[in-house]
Amino acid sequence: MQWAEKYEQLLPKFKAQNKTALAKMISLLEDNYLQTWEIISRLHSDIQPKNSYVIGITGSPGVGKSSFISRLVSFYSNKGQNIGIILIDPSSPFSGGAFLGDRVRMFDLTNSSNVYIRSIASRGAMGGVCNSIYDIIDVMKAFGFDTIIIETVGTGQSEIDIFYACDNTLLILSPDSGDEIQIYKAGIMEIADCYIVNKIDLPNSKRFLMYLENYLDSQNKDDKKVFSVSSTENKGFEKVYQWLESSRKYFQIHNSKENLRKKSRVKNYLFHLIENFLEGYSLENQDVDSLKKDVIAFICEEEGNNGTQN
Amino acid sequence: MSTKIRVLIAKPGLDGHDRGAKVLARTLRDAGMEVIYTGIRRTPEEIVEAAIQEDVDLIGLSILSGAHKKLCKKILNLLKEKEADIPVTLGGIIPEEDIPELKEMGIIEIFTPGTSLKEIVEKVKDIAMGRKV
Repeated sequence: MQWAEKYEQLLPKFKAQNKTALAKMISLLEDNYLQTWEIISRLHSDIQPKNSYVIGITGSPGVGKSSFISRLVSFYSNKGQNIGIILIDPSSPFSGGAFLGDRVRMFDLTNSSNVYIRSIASRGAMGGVCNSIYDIIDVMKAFGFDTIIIETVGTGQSEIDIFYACDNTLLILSPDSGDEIQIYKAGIMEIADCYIVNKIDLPNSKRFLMYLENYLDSQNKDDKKVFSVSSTENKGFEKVYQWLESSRKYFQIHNSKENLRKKSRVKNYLFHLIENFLEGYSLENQDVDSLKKDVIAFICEEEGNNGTQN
Repeated sequence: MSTKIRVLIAKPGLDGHDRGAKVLARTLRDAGMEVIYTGIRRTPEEIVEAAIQEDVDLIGLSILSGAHKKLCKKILNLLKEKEADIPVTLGGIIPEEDIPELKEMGIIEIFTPGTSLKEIVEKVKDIAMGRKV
């Protein structure tokens, strides 16, 4: 079946807040990457999207991103908000498959009627999210969630695409994340609006907090927040929630990241197209100049064919 | 654009033996599928809701507790109730004599101990692709 036909089938149920239709709409985007722009513009003409607040949660593997989200979301859902959650885990560079295990930590949310959780594989994207992230956020905004939460793959030091995709970025750290030197490194430490030191019940937590606060002081980053929480003991979440809610108000008025986001979205899309092109291309004896021409021809042609390909 | 097969590997009921489920999840991952793992001791309601939200092409249940008849029935009924057309397979310690009843119920394939991983991968692929078309 062509995407347009599927889309038309899903739309009435999607408008009626049906989670099955939402799930299938996300799959439709993931499976028809080349038609993304068209699907999204259709969606925007059919439904006025909600001004949802988008929170990005990032951090190294094992620092407690999923457990943190699980605690935070029960807070939100108790206040009657509708929450959409996107959990991203890496795809295998060899088989293309993925083991999506973030949901394990938040199963108590599965049957909450106001929470929707979707696990997504990164499918080769290297920035810590997936290539369809902007589109999935658009679908979730059209569905009408008050808050959208995105969990990145377990990140290293330079996977920072989440910064563009969301309104606020929270970096989750654990007291055993390393010494002071790790805090001084560029990249992921810089993109966070808010640092969450999780596992505050661990013995080294005070020293780690001191390192972090010293660093932020020395950088004159007074606008950056530090919170310490413990997901196992369910401590410290009220303050995080209050900070997020005051931040939401700011973004609803200013929408200050819109231009950055558009740029990153277009770049992301073009890179993905080029990558797809190169995959099926013999690079033997290829000089860069003629390759460039082929790439440009491919992208332009792609655009012309957008509506007819499947 | 190639479409990926998405599978939910789930452990319903009071049964903590998840080695088999994990081995299978990893095998399907290595066969290029996107596998969502639920963890142990999930209720039928949680499994069905997760399968719907994740839009999976197949649910693979792993049960070693002996409660397979009750759990499968509950899960199949819930799927029907929610109009979710998702095929369900079952693996674990399943006595031969229970298999006809389980298939009658609507379990599409049953993998007992000794089934090769290769066979499971092939069958899962066939069933999931059948749904995609």
